Parts: sequence; structure tokens; C-alpha cells
Amino acid sequence: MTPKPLLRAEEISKRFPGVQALDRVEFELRAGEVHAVLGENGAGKSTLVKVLAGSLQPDSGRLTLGGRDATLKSAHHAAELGIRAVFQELSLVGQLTVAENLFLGREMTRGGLLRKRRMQELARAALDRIGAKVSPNALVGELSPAQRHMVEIAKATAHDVRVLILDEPTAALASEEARHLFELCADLKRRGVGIIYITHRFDELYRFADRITILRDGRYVGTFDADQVDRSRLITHMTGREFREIFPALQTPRNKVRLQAKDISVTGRLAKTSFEVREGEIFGIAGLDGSGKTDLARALFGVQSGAQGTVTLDGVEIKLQRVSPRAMIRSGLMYLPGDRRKEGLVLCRSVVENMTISSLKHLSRAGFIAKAEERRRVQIMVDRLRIKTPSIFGRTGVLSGGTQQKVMVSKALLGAINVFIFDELTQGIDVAAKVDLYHFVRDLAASGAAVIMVLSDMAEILNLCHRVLVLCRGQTTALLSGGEISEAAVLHHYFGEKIPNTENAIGA
Amino acid sequence: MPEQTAPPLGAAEMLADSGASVLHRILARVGILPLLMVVLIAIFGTIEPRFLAWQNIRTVGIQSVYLIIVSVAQTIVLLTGGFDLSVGSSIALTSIITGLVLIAANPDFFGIAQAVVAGVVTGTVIGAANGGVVSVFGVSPFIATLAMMSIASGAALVISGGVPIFNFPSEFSDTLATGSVLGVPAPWIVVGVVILLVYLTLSWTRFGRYLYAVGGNADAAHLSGVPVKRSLFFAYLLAGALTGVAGVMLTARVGSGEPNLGATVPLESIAAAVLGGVSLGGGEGTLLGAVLGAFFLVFLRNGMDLIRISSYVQMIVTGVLLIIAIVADRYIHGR
Repeated sequence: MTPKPLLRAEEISKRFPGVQALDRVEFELRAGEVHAVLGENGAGKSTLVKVLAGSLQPDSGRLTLGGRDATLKSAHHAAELGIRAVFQELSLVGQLTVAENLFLGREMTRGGLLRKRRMQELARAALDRIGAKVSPNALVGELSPAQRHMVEIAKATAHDVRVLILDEPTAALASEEARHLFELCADLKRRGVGIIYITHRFDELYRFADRITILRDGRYVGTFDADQVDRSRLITHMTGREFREIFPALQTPRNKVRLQAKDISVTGRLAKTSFEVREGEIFGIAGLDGSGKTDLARALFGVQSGAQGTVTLDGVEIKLQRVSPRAMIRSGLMYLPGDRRKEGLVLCRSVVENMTISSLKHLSRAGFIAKAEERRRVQIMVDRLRIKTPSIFGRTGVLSGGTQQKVMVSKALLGAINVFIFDELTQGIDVAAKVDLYHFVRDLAASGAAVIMVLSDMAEILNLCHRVLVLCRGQTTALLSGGEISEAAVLHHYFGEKIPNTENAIGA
Repeated sequence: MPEQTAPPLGAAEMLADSGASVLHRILARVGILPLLMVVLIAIFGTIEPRFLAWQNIRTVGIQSVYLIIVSVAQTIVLLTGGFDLSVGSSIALTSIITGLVLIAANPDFFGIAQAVVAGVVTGTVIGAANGGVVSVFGVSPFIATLAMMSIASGAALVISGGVPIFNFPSEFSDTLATGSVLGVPAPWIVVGVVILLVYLTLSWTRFGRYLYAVGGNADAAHLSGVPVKRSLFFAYLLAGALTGVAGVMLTARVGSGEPNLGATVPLESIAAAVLGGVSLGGGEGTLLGAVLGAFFLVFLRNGMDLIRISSYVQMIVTGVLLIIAIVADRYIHGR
């Protein structure tokens, strides 16, 4: 690797009303490296990359590109200099085709007329290069979020690029697409492109990054070579906590079966699946995207169309064909969705209203809500889960991701729920909030509840569950317990019978 | 491995805030209504001193009762993320049914009570029909209530033959329009009861919470165990019942069964609610806001009447105000 700095940021500061987002931050990107930026939510990662991408102007500090001073006036200006960014908030026009989007603002013309055929060919090539299975003629508005993300990446790499900025690129992608993205990045690296990369996923970090810069509270902590710093050091740097505090030790489940799922199937998505979850047990459901893990979880809650089978809760048998979330909650089972903003919370309403929405029946006296009692219970939950909110009467939408997740979880806790199904409980939230939630899940199980967790994060699969059900294309491929749960075993069963390429599969 | 730390931020830096965000915060808290109210009082109070006389304000207080009741009904539906365009023709049909029962029944307390019940039931049935179509069949509230607007309006004209129903017993209007109890005008008693009941419903019952949750995020509400369809149904039903009450009260005020009563009410009630900070997107808004919004609109109309602005121009003003209110709503809620 050549240690020649390609893009350098010195003493960058940026403040927003009420917050110093960046405080004299240093950053250096070399040609041909993947440089990860790591930090908890609010650490300043997004602000830093926005400054580097030209979409935010710093209050002070200096940027140099290829050794020369570069004052980036706008994202457009940065793009002209070869700095291209793919942000989480996508910037595509839904009413235009994929090819039209790729060439938006830089259309190719001949004699004043658009060279549509040529642009389609180039778009096709750019999409193929990243392995996106998308037609250049498809309307962007009709694509899935993952496909749109791939188009966005194709757009950033279709033109001359020296610095590529990827903000949580794999959050919306399936594993196959993520693999293509990594291959593309390897190719760009060879061509001397510098890649800046923000992620929450440690497993990707080690597979992918050459160096890692860590920010905390808007300040620069340090830059490390990825092969010389282990995961626990990184987490300590990010949070100021020790790694062994992250995953709590599990307690042994009791013998009594709390939930018995028999022949659960979902038409076209999931073959008949049966399992039991005992009191005090944390039961993981793992698999790649499309494996049916979310379908299984949603089927148990009566929100998956085409679901069949029976669930026995503490001895009471329930048929899944015609059951509603309302009925399942009454029976003591609740599912908390992976997309909290879309399905988990009423963002325009207060913390109190969101927390008690599922348990108002218990909080009503003579038809009226007992508000003092409601406030008391919410306050207990706020203290217990360390929910950071300025007021329990404030809108939920303004809170951080981790805090929102805790509010959503409280909704189930305040009801008479003893089977909890968490779908990607810790997706997109910072490490400190994750740690709180891990301890919370452990305590929940220790108190006798049955906890089912739909998981993608390998560290969570390995460290958080008593048993793990692995699915592959709708089929159960393994039910691992205790010492059997290893990364190799889980990955093996992810792909059914097929043994994965071990080079790609090795994590931390 | 380079490591460095920086000193903590100065408190003064943390406090600095821009003027735009201060304005935004004020608007987010109280809406644009206080601002408009100040403008209204300043302009009309200057041009026409009678505008701010107690007698005039009392008159406006009584005139505004009808729009307040409909705006409250509208708010219940707006909170769920829908709206009700049929409130106007619902009032017309209510008026005709009330009128027919009134002239058929005995001119005594019992006969009047029959007419009142018939009117409220009419509104309730229309609301239930709206609620059924919206919740069970998932038809958009716009289309469902637009169709109902046509149906109820047509029914009112068919039943009445297009002519008003006269010859009411005088006790009807003497009680419900001009009557009073201990000096409190009857319309104020009715609107007071309506506001109290709806306040208790929205702020203190499960159903009220469910309305806000359904309007704020129906998917999340469903996954939280909220009976989304049932809540929608009863929201429209309740709105219909209140519209029926407004229809009966208005019939008493005009003293006849009118097949064209309430034509301007759909627009005015939506404008009143949105001016009062009720979000068109659903899930946000208060009863008090809607009440004050309705009062403001009637007060404004009164002011324009006093300085002899024609009713045609007043229609334009109402439309412009609705647009201002919606733009402000979007600005405040960042959509």
C-alpha cells in the first residue's frame, strides 16, 4: 500500500445550533485504501463525510486533495474533483429510469439530441460491474430499496472517481449484493481509488477496511490499522467501555415450555417449521435475507399473509390462519418489528403515548385512562432502560435511533407479555444502546420470559442466544444450541448444504 | 497510534441559535392562529370600533357555535388521517329529516325531542356509512365522503322536492336557537357539552389514543394491537353524530328545513381545524385548536360583514386562508 495521502482533512470544525458536531477533527485517506470511519451515533461520522463530500461547509479547517488545497463549494463541485458519495438518504428521481438517473445532469448528446442507446449501454455496463440485477430501463420508483441503493452506487462509480464515500452501504443490501459491492470496492482499490466507509457492522469492518478512524463526541480519537487492532479495543475507543461488558453471561433456561410452534409455514416463503421455546430462553432465528426468518417471526404474530400452523402459548393452542396482532398481544405474545420508524412507533406522538398504546386496557379505570398511573409506569421504564429523552411528553420522532428502539421495546414490557419476538433489535443503533438492549434481553429472559430474536449480526448470533434456528431459502437447515453455535457452523447452514467460500467467510 | 483530546465546549456556544429556528419553535408550539388573531383584531378593530364591542363578540360567540361543532367533528376524522367532505350535505339531509318529523309530530316537548333524535340519527347513519366504506373496504376518505356528499345532498333534494320545509312550531327555535338557561344561551350549552364530551374522548379514553395512533402511523398502531378498522369506523360515526347535532341546531336557527343548508361547511370546517393546528397528515392536533380556528373564521366573517365586504370576496378570503394554513402546517411539521 502506498502511504501517499489522497485526501486530507486538518482541524475540521463544524457546529450546528446547540451542537459542536466536529471539533478539530483529523482525517487522512490514502490512494487505494478502504478507510472506515467508526463511532457511535452522534459521534460526528455523518457530518465528517458530508464535509468531505462537499455537501456541508466546515466552519474552520483545511482540506487537501492530492496535495493541493481543495475548498469544496458544493457536492457538485466535489463530484467534479472526483469525490463521490452515496448517502443513506438517496438522491434518485423516482419518475426517471435507471439510465436517466445515472446520467442525470451529465447527459450525453450529439447534435443537441440525447444519445439514449449509448447511455443505456454504459448504464448496463456500470450496473453489471457492481452485479446489480436491474434493467437500465426500469423506473427507479418501482425498484426495491436494495435495488435503489445499488443504482445509487452505480451512479457514483459510473463516472471518474478518485474518492468514493459510502455511508452504511450494506444496511439496505442483501448479502449477495453486499458481496458484489465488496468486489467492486476491491477493484476500485486496485485502480487507486480511496474509499471512505461508514458502518456499524464489525464483521464487515475486518473483512473490508484497511484503516479505521474513530470519532467520539465530535472529536478525533485515533486512526488504526485494521489488522493491528482487535474488536474489543475498537469498542473501548468508541464507547469508553470494556468489550467483555458488551454481551452479558446467559442464565440457564428453565424446563417449562412457554411457546410451542408447530408446522408454521408461509405460502411460497417458508416450509413447515416446528420448535419450542422455554421459559428463560433466548431463541435466535438466523439466515440470509430471503431465508424466511422475518416471515416466520411475523407469522407467529398474525401479520404475515399466507401463514399457517399452530402456536401453543402456555398450554393454549392458537391457529395462525385467522389471528390478529391484537389477539396475540392478549395471549401474551408480541412482535417488535425491525423497521421501527415505519412499523414500530407513531413518531409524531409522545413517548408516553407510544409506550402505553398496547397496554391501555390495564391502565383504564371506568373507561378513562389513569394518567398519573400511566406516567408513573412510563417513568419506571425510562429509568430502567436508561431512556434519554428530554421529556416523556416530547415527540418520539426527534429521539436517537437507540432511544426510539428502547421506547418501542417498553411498549411490550408495559403489557402482560411473556413471549417477546424482536426483529433485528439492534439494527442501526449505537454501541452503547446495543449494550443496554443486550442486558435488557438477558434480564427479560432471566425473569422467565421466552425471547425470540431474528438476527443478522454474527456477534449477536454467537453471543446472545441459547439456541439458534438457521434457515435457508425457507427451509430449516439447523437448530444449534450452546457450544454448537460457531461462526463456521452458522455460515455453513446459511447456505444449506453448500459450503461457502471460506476466505470470504472469515470474520474477526 | 495518535490520540488526542480536546477541551469541552463553551456554554455560550451551545446557546447560540438562529432567529429562523426561534420562529419555527413558536409556530410549532401554538400554530399560526395567534398570529392571525392579532392581525384580525388590529385591522378590524382599527377600521370599525364596533368589532370589539362586547355585544358583537357575544353575537359572534353564538354564530360560531355551528361551525365549531362541525369543526370538532372534522377534527376527529382529520386526526385519523382522513377527512369528511360530506359534513355539508349531511347537515342538509339532517335539516330536512328534522323538519319533516317536526311538522308531523305534536308541537310539544316530546315532538321536538323526536325531531332532534331523528336529526342526530340521520347524521349518525351517514357517518356510519362513511366509516364502513373507509374502514371495511379501505376506500380513500376523499372518494368515500365525496360520494356521500353527493348521495346525502341528492337525498335531501329528493325528499324535500327541492323546497324548504316551513311551519315549524315556534317552540323549536325558541328552545334550541334563542332559548337560554340561567342566562346562558342554549347554543352555548350544547357546544359546551359537545366540547366536554369530545375532550374526554380524545384525551382520556383508549379510543381517543387509538385515533391519534391510527392517524400517526396505522401500521405501527396495527402491530401494537390497536383495532385500526374499528377505530376508523367509530371516528366517522362520531363525526357523523356531531354533524347531526350541528344540523339540528342550524335548522332551529334558520327556522325551516333547508335542502341547501351547510354547503360551505366542508371547506370551512377543514380550514378551521387546520388553522387551529390540526395536521392534514393525521395524528396531530388538539380539540382546543379546532374550536379556536372555527371561532376565528366566524369572527373574521363578522368583521368583513361589518365593513361591508361582499360574501363573494369572503369566499376568496376563506380559500386563501385554507392555503395559508396548509402551507404553515407543512412548514411547521417539516413535510
